[in-house]
Parts: sequence; C-alpha cells; structure tokens
Amino acid sequence: MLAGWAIVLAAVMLLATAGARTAFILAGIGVEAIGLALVIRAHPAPRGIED
Amino acid sequence: MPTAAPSLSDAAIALSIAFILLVPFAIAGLSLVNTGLGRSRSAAQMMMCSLGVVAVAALTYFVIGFAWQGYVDSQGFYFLIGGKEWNWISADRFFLRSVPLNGSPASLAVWLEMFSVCLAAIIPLGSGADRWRMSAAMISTVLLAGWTYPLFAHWVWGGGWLEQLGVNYGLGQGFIDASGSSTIQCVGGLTALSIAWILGPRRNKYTREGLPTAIPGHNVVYMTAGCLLALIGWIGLNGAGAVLLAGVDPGLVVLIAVNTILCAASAGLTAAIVTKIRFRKPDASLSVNGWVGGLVASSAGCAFIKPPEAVIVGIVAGGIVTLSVEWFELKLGVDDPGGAISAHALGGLWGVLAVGFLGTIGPAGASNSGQMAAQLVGVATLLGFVFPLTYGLNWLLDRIHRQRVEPEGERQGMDLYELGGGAYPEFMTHDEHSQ
Repeated sequence: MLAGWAIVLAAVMLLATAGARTAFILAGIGVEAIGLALVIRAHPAPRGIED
Repeated sequence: MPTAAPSLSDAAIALSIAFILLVPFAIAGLSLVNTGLGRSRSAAQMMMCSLGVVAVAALTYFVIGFAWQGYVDSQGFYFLIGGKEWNWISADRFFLRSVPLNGSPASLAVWLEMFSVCLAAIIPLGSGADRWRMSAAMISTVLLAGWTYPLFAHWVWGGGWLEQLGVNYGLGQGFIDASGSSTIQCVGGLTALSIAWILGPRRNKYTREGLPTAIPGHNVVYMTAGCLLALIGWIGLNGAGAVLLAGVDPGLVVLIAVNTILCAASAGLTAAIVTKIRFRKPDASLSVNGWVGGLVASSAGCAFIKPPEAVIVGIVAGGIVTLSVEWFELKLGVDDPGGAISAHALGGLWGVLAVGFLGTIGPAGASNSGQMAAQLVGVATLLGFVFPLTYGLNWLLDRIHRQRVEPEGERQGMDLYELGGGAYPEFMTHDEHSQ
C-alpha cells in the first residue's frame, strides 16, 4: 500500500502532462488495492469462538 | 484551498460560533448509534467509553494534537522538492500556546477541531463494540488524536501539501474536503477497520464453519434518535467547517445545511428501500448506517454541489453503505457491530470522490479533471499512508497492551466485567448459560 502511495507521489512530482499524471495516480491506487487485497488475505476468515 | 486565514465579519463569526455549538450533537448522536447497535450487556461500557474517548481526545489534542496540525497560516516544516514546498507538519507550540483564543478565525478553528477530533475518535468504538477494553480504547484514542488525525488534517486543512496541490502542481484547487469526509470520517473509519481486524470477531459471531450469525443491535430507539441528533450536529459541522477550514463564503451556509439534510435523507431512504427489496422489510440497523453514511458523504462537498447533486451523493452513499456492511461481514469476515467501516470509511471516500465528479469548483465551465486528480491523490493518501499508519500504531499497541477483553469479559458482558454493573439493572438482559 505504501508502494502505491509512493507511485502516486512520484506521479505528482515528476509528470507534467495531466493525462500521464492521472494515469499514474490511478495505477498507484491500483497497487494500493492489490496491497489491500493482500492485507485481507493476511486476516483469515474467522472460525468463531463458540461456547 | 485557502492559503491564508479567512477574513470574517462579526456576523460570520457569530454564525460560526452558532454552528460550532451544534457539533457536540454529532458526537452524542454517534455515541447513541454505537450503543444501540451493540448488545444490551455492553451498553453502559459503550457510553462510558464514548465519554472517556471524548475526554482523552480533547486533552490530547490540546497538549500535542493542534501543534502538529496547525492552521492555514501557521508555520510548518517542509521539504523542498523540485522547487516546490511539501509542507508536511505544523510547527506550532504545544498546549495551544500559538493561538490566542480570542474569537479570531484561527481560534474558532481550534474550537471546531477539538470537537472534530472527538468525533473522529468516537467512530472506532462502533467496530470494537462488545470486546474492546476501555483502557485500550483510551490509549488508541491518544494515538489517533495526538498523531494520525492531526497529521492528515494538517495536510488537508493546515496549509499542508495536499491543500497546496493546486498552487504547486495545478491540480484544480488542491485537495478539497470542506468539513471532514476524509480528515474526520475516513481517518476514524480506517481506524475502525484496523481495530476490527486486530480485535477479531465477537464471540459466537461466526460458527466453526465460518458462517456469520446475526447479533442484532439492542435498541432501535437509541439508533434512530442518534441519527436525528447527528443530523443537527452535522449541519453545524459542515457549516462551520466550510467557513473556517475551507474558506467558503458564509452566505453559503443555507446551501450547506440543505445539502446536508438532502444527503442524509436520500441515503437513509435508499438504505431502507434496498433492505426492503432484499429482506421484504426495511432493516433499521442498515437504514441507520445508510443515514450516517449520507451525512459522512455530505461533508466534503457540501458547499460545492447543488441540491440535486446532494441527492445523488446520498443515494450512492446509501447504496454503498448498505451493500458493503454485508460484504464486510460475509466475504471478509470483519465483525463491525456499528457499521463504522462502511458508513465512515467508505462513505467518506465516496464523499471525497464526489467533489471531483459533481463539484462546481473554480471558474464556471472549467474542466474538473485537475480537481479529480487532486481528490484521487487524497484517496491514495488515505489508503496508502493513513491506513497503514493507524493499523501499525494499533498493532503495536496491541503487542504492548492487549486490546481485546479477556474471554471471561465477553462471557459476562462488558458492563459487568469492566464497570461492575449493567446499563439496565432492573431487567434481566441475558442468560449467561444460554449462549
């Protein structure tokens, strides 16, 4: 997720054209989404604590 | 948006004070919603936690929080990258020593922010209901009010780099969040997600096969009364926030109030209709979550959208919240009794994006593409920085001071275990042996 954010920041700082900037910002958010999916996988589906 | 503190007339200052005085109703409303959506045997602990969290958040913000956040014309620390300033944290003094509390716009902003941070801190209580130790909730609040919230709020409202994206990089008017869909609601909602994951689900919430069981909220009256109180509070929050933090013309407060109620109304009704279609009868809990989600989504763009667009924002928020509550519970195995993640995190993200989609910002007829890019950078910052930060801080706290109550506490109920008495002592509210 941090890597995705870094891509977004780099796009803002380094790219001059609006189209390229928006594309890389979206790509960064895509990387964050993959990171979020990995975080979800790291939290396995609960098997309840039952009495 | 603004690069200097707004200049306010006496009437605008009086109006701002009136609006700020309404904001505690939002805190009271959310407390009631969280309590109603939890179990009866944890109701007293939830209200006590709400009170404690408000106290801790206000004190922490007073001691260190505002010093990190600052106001739009405060001094800040910054990096110079490519000749552009990246202002990342304020350089104000601790204990509010930089701001004379004399009715100036900066002092009114401090007052509003103190309520705002309390509101943000209340949100995670909803996801941690029935199993979050009171002591852990207080320490977690210190982390939120002392670090996570002020840092992100500085970036958005304190002259930070997100606010300056327009000036520095030509991204519209910079990241816009008039009254806290991101700074208050998303920060609180993402912390709620962290807490729900770290605590794990309530006892008996999931079967051994992983299927969720219904643990309905114990008091629909609390929930719905909470919604009405929250509406009053949100009108104050959105009005004062837009004027003091986003530099909006005070004459727009009527539009802001109308948009706020339209968002909440359309979101609540959407949730009721969706649940009526799916379950044959409208579901009170989900409708309440929808209503709150509409309020949350209204905050970012309340001053920049027209009333018909506010209805659209509300309808989408109601749909997102209603469907995502089920998605979190069934697909992700996240037990969020108060629906805080859906209503505050997702509702807030939608509110921020809606500014880019629907907002009228800058000269009439100008393209919104730059503004949309700025809003996307804000969303990326919430997901890519704020969430890992708040998760990491709460994970570390859990290593040092276990956040989940002992199994005995869940068996007895949080009221009895942590407070020694229940919220409803005259009634038999549960049978410990029939679970």
